[in-house]
Amino acid sequence: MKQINRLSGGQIDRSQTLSFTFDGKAYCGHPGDTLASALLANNVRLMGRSFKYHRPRGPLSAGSEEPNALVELREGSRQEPNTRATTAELFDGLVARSQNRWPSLTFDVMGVNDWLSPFLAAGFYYKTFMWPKQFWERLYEPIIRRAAGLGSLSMEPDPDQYDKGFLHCDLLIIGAGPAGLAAALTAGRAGARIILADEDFQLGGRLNSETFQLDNKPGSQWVAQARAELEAMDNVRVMARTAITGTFDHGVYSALERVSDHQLAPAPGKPRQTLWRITTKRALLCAGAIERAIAFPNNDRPGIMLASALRAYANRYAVTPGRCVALFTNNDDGLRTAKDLAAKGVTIAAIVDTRRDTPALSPDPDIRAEHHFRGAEIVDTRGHLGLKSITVRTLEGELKTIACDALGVSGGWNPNVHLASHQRQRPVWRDDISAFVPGDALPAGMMAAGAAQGDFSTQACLHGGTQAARAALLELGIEAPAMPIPDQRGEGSAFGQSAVWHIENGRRRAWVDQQNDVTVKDIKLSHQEGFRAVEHLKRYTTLGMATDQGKTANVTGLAVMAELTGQTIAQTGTTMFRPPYAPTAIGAFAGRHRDENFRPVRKTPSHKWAQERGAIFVETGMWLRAQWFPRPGETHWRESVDREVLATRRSVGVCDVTTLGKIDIQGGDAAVFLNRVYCNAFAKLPVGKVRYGLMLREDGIVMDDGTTAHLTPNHYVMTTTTANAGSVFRHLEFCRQCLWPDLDVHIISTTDAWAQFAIAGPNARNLLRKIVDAQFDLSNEAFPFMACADITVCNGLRARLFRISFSGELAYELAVPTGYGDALIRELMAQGEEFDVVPYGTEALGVMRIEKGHAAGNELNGTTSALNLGMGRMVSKKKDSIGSILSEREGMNADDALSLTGFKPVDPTQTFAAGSHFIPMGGQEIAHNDQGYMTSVCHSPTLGHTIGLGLLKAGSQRMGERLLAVNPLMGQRTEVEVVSAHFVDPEGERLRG
Amino acid sequence: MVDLKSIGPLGKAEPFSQTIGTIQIMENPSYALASVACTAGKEATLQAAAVRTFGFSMPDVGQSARNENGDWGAFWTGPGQFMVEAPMDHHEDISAHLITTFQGVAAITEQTGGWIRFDVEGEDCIEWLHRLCAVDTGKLLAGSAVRTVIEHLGVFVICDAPQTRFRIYGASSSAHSLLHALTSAAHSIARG
Repeated sequence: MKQINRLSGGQIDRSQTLSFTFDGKAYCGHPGDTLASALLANNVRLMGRSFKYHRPRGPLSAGSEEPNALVELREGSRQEPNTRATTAELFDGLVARSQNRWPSLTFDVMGVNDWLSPFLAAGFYYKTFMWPKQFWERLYEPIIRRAAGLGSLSMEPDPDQYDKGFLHCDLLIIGAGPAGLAAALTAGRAGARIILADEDFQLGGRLNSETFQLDNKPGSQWVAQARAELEAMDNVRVMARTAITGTFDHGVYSALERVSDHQLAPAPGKPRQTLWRITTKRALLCAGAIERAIAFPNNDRPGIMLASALRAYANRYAVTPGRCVALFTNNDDGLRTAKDLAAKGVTIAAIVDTRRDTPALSPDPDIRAEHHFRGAEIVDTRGHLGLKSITVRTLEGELKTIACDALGVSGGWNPNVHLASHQRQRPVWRDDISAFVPGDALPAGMMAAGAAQGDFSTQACLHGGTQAARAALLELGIEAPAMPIPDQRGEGSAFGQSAVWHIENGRRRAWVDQQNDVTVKDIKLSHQEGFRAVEHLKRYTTLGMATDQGKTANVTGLAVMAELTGQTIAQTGTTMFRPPYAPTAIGAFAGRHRDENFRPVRKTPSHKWAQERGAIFVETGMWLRAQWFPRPGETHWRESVDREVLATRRSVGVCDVTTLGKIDIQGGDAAVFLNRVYCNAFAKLPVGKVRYGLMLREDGIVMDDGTTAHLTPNHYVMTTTTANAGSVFRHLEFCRQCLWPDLDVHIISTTDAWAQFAIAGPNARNLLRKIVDAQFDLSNEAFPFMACADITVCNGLRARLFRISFSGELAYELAVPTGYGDALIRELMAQGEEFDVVPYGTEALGVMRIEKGHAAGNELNGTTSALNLGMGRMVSKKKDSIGSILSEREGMNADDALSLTGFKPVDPTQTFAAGSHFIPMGGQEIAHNDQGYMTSVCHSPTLGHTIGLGLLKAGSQRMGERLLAVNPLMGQRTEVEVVSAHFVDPEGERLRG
Repeated sequence: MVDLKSIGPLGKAEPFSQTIGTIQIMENPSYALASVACTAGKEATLQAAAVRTFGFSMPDVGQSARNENGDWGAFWTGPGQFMVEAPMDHHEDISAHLITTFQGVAAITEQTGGWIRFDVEGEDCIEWLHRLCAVDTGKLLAGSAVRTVIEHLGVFVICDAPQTRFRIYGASSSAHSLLHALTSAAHSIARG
């Protein structure tokens, strides 16, 4: 199709033609176009349907504030809903579709909602979907969810990458319009380290959209020169396509850079978007202002847009939405649009000015004086899929219908105060410009300049930008000379902005928030029903929600409410401003952290070997641990786990236990330190011995357990549980630095420095004898249970050996420097062949510890005391240690306190589940009868039936008693017998053998 | 029984090396590491021993040091705490050596296997580091050593030459995740 609405001039590259499609139809545009400008050039005004009433809509704006022209971009997995056509840069091959319509944009069945509008006023769903109650989840919610959301998702994973990054600067300049550029030139020339960011792909802001000159050249040319100068400076980072999205504490700002959004697909390895965290010393808000509309009846037809947008389309994009245009304005700025359009050959059908006393337009051969209606207003419009005419009520009360295919509306300008208000700062109302501006209390380190500060003329922006930059730098001790302000011609300094918010005309609807279909009537209803506070108004009507966050609507909405309440707009106030300023994809927040890189992974030294063996891995915190090692023919995990348990108990098994936290504790006061952090005695642990240690929180609840080995004088190695390695280390650092800074003790994590393997089973010693160098005596006499030593293995490699057992078998833990872990596991397997050695994973580890009755994470669950775990007597009364006093609290020492016991099914063929609660036989299954709960359950291959550990009231005194283990979630009730928690080798003969 | 052979944290016998754009990322397994924590009140003795053994004083806050022939290097890790490194060829058992050197004045802990070291060079190093850590790396001078976070992982970043040459030490168990961050950030800025 020909670009019949293309005008002369503009900042598009006509030497290249770009092809794109919209709703399957092919069009052409040029580099420099947005999707919206290219569609308008092709005479497409209808680009979307409104959210609630499915009203036909075209673009209202030419920027990021756009409420209407939301489309789906791209195809397949790159499909992206709710994208603003006004900011989407045109590229060759772009595919766009309209959304929120069926079956087509021009004929949308859901348009029936518009006819039903009397029933769909604000808050209708709060009232409508109340009854019957059971319909809510089954019927109403699914319907509402289907209707919500505008565009659709592809439901496929996003194939693109997103990045994150960190930047630092002396001065962040937010917005590269005249104020921002002047500030950047001033600060850049002074040598300050600055970042200049603008969400547009062109720097210059309104300078790109106006016709007046700076230093005798077009504004866009002045911008290009400024940009070239800035980009040549090493101390300046120019960031186009970058929206500053949030203001945070300590001068930190978030920014979204659209790195590849203007391409069909990102280049290989390149991110689509980058989310930046910018740490600043000072920030300068030069975010400009957004024109606001006037709410008049049927003001939402395609072809009706902000006057400044009409000017931007004409001057920057060389496009007009129609050949016969009318203007509706309450200020001088609107008149400028008429002049610019007329100069481009567009017919000006009417200028409707709400002000009575506006001087007549200076003689302009292209605009006829009788088309300038002063003191008039637009009271209606016509044209279903696009504007066809407006109805003007003149000062004299006469109604005139004027044919036109586009209308520019100018209701004044709202400074972009959002980023100045993200930390609960409230903007202040200025009567002289009828607008909110940033107040005195700005975020620390921030200043505002230019239109964002309420200075609307270009001259004031340039001057304000340079002065604000100088002031900001002076606070940093940098003196910056003032930038010579370019001579500016063609723009008047007065704007004559007056407050006209809405026009009444019978029952016709006048839209305030076009994105959410909020009309003046809706605001009146909100007021009538008592939702008068601005935050209530927002929730009741949805004014200011969704992708545009009411950038063109909020102030008008507040003004209407102020009128209704009789308060001033200043008294009415604004809603809270919150980040992000611009829509930000969740992908950008996630950055590189997705799929297998969702979070960092820690791998054990035997990971590669385990992978080769086909191990199944499980996440334990960040660690990936081998869960079991299936063998050919094993079809169920239980087969593998049972085999690993039985083989270990029969001969020998090896398990990678590197993940247990290892903390090196050294110093003259190391023993004193340990004695204070563990509740049991540690002061006299001899060199060469390991001891089980129980650590309590301040409140007497168990924090963690593990073993600590005394390797050499003043040198200990503590092991923690895998899950608590980090928190225990943090706790120890707190104790060392804050509680007892006088102690001579050093702690350092060595978890990653040593590869550690448990070697368990009757043949553990025999296997180790083939690994450990001959000079080390491993006999029971020389190296008994709970011994430890620095040794060497495999011809001299330094190692540490601990004779400790989690499985209940004769067992050791052998540690070598991490790099040798892979070689060690291979050697253990090779040397263990004669003993039928098996590797075992965390499942078998868990089964064996339950069989042995060892408490683990399920039992150390943040609610249990040493007494609960059957270790009450370990809390030494002969010394002070963290948690020992509070563990004596009466409530924690009741006669019927929970205690750890074993459970087995009365009928061995039956099973039960962890989490089951104990109910006395014959008792009702209610909380009142709850006697405790099952913490760990497994199938014991050794015993041939299910076993469990659990916490039972006075459990240690109830051996042999029968109870019901009930699990209402699974509908399970099993009769169980209370038994010792030590199912295997209760006397501990094996591990001491 | 065979002699055990060490492999790197990335599970390969050969160290990782890749050039992406202008960024060259090289795993450097040829240094042994040990931490040195000074006993309270023994600072002067420790410094004297350091000068005697290494030829330099233990570095100040946020700094690293290296002797002229590159035998010994150290960087600050916390108050009175340092990481000392030496070529693996001569000092595979570095902690045994340091225990002797700092007998009675410091706690020594072997750290070689706990860390992976990446040496990174390239004209776009700062742009690359911008995408990795919150440190203002453009301002680091040669010898600066900072503890920071990359990809949620605690790391040390040491500047060997401003703007262009850095060392990064990360935990060995999460070496794959760290490497993923380093390489994807390099791809992100690679031109062409």
